Amino acid sequence: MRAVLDPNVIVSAVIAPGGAPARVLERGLAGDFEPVVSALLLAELADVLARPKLRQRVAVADAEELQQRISERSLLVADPEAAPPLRARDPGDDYLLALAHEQRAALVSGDGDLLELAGRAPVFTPGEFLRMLDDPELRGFGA
Amino acid sequence: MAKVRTTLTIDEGVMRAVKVQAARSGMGDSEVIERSVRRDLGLDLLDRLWSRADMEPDEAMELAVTEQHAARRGQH
Repeated sequence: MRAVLDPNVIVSAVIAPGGAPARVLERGLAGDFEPVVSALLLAELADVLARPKLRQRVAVADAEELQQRISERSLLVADPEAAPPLRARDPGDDYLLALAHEQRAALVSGDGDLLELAGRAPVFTPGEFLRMLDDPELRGFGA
Repeated sequence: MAKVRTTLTIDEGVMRAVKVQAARSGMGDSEVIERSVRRDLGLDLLDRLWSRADMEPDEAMELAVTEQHAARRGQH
């Protein structure tokens, strides 16, 4: 099962160990599903982690190691050139939708702009995605 | 997380190295193997980050989304 983790899920996972995003990231690194990343996704993750409010919580060296580990444990693919079939309210989210669509992957996000597409696109909250991972019937998504 | 009992088949030399490491460090064989696997998977990094993290999940997601949007707008 493949999944694109919105950078907000990864960032949230790192700074709050008790939440669903933390469990999703942990299970992704452990190989319980196949995370999909692209250059744009990794660049946005780096940009967000470099912001002052996050820098005070995640040291530069740890942020760099996190990006490295995620790259190593994920399927790294080229960013799609085509626009996604369904557009988000925020055009900045389109690259995530296009990536998930092209890779037949679930998109896991905490952003309301993307989650409002649920039902029309395979967008899930971290909690919903965890329930999918634990449900044998739903794990076949995208296969 | 709960521990589970399991049976592994691994190289004899690797098992010897595990026992040497366990004796040197004062850990059990299982702990040496688990630490090594966690390091290989990148889970040791999460353990380290989480030992210093204290935010509530909802608050963390709100901050992550806000900062993601600000980064996209190029705001400081």
